[in-house]
Amino acid sequence: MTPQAPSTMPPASNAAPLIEAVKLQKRYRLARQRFLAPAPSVLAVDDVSFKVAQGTTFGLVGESGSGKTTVAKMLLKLEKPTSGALKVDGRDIFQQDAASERLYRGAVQAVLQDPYGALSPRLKVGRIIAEPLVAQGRMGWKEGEEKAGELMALVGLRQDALHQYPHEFSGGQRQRIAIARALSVDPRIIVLDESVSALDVSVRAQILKLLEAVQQKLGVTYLFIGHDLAVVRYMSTDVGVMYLGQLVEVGSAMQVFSQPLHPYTRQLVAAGAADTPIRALGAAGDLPSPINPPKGCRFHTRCPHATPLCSQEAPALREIGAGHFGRCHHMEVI
Amino acid sequence: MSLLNVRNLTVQFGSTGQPIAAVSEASFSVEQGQIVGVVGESGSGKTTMCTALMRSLPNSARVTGDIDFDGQSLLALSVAQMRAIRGRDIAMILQNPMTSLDPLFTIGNQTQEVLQLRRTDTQATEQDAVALLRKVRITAPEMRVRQYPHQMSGGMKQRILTAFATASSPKLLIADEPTTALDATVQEEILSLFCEIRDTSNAAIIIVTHDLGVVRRISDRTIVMYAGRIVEAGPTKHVFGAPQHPYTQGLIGSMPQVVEGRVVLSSIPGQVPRLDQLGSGCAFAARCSHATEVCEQRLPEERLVGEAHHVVCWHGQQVTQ
Repeated sequence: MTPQAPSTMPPASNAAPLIEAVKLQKRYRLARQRFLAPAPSVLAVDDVSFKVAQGTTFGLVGESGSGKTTVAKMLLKLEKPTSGALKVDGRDIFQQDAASERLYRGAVQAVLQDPYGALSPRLKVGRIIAEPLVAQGRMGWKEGEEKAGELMALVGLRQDALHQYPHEFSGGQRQRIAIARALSVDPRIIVLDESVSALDVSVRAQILKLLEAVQQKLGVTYLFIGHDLAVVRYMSTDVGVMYLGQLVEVGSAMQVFSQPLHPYTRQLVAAGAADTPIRALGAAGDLPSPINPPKGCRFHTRCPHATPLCSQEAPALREIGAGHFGRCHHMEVI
Repeated sequence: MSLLNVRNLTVQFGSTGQPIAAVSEASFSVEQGQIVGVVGESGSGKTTMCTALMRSLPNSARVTGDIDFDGQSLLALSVAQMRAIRGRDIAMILQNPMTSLDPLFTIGNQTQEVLQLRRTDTQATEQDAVALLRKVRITAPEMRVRQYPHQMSGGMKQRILTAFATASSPKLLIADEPTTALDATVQEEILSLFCEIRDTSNAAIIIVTHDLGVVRRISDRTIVMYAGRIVEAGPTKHVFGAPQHPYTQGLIGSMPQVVEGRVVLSSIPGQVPRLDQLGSGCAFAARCSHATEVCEQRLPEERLVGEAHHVVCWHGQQVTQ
């Protein structure tokens, strides 16, 4: 398959990033506890800035509730940021006219975690893959299903699978179908939100290899969300580590995993390493509530290096090495 | 004398004419104070094998072989005798901490119930419940006993379930995917709790998981399963350091690893065969790069390839002693 000639968006120049998040913030209002009481809110994403170059993979890691998926939803235009800007090709995606919005919806696709819930059980695979093309008004069903056949070959499935239903496939094969569907509209960006987390180890390796081959062939840009550090490291060019809605560290995969700056990243990296003795890490305590995050540095309640300064003043994201940022008061000394 | 000695354990489902073996001729033993990791992919039989040890499989399962636990043959016991052992001498922790607690009762209430069932004291008080929760390092247990499961985090619920399982100081603890539903830092805490339980009570622990990283770090011995059979078993550092079975090698290669500053990953071609479509030979033969004619025709025998390190493969390197 070759990318179609009239691409959905003009290509970015080499220097400018394809995706740029500038101080993104997302606040969700929660239900009132009492009549007329002020409604509590949760800052799901707070002060998140990063850049992603075309054809590369930006990895986001962090625990549940750290805001990774909220960032992904904003990139997919399923949520609007409370403040800040999210730019693709230098243009704010929340200030588009209807025509460019339509193009944008085709240019950004997603492959989600659960391969069982992502495919309609009532549609044959050919229809599932052709549907985005028809919805975008690019072609009719007949032509769409022909293109679906080409995509099946690209993701390593047999042609006759087009006439089967999703329940006839294993989890790994379903994830291949979801990838084929995402690729059908020649997207420039694919959001991979825990796309391989539900798969067995050997199947996961196969899907990672497939995603890598697709990127090399088509030059698509990935936002890769995961909680398995080894997998994120393998896939990503650059990595952002999130904690309670904030990016606590950003840098190249090499920098973040080989010379982690932030104590939280260090804990994560140590937990993932094969030679770390289990008791070396000790009890870190539960994740604080994002509704009422700790004052000062959000990580200070679980940080072995915390000082009085950490509980008073929130650290800003600072650049330590070239392109390597951390959000901690004591990065230089620990 | 091992605490647990399993010989030729086979679990079959389906009709007697065309049985499907979820577990075939599994043999292994577990010593006191040992942590044994059982790894394999979905459908490899690891959960079925461990559920068989508890004799908790549905009646449709036909279990044969021999399970010798602490000098007793478990498969020969009556239902009442087995009930006295289950939960008391052999306890199990399940994968999903979210659904294993009753949402309608307080944590204290459920803890007291467990204490009354598992121990001889018929009247467990709130203080006993608090003491038990403190043992698994629940913070502010006096407050927690009055709370309901929905007020707890996943890690806290898993600790509470671990407290329930260890209430009667079992000799064998079976944990089925105990950390799969948990975040990385919470997983660390649960694993360190397991180490602590082993160190203080000398209990044996079997951890079933598909996460090779967990097994590599916590277990003394590793058992690798494929399509219902144990294909390799040995000391963890040998199984991971010098895997002998091509499947173990492929599984380890499927985890991204840093080699000389680069992250490398390899994948095993093909898919796991269906259990009702296994031929007469080695189940892995179709995906194996070393497979020869004999692999497709006959089941390989178990070979000793190192100290207490067995591999079931025709081409596994044989050690001359």
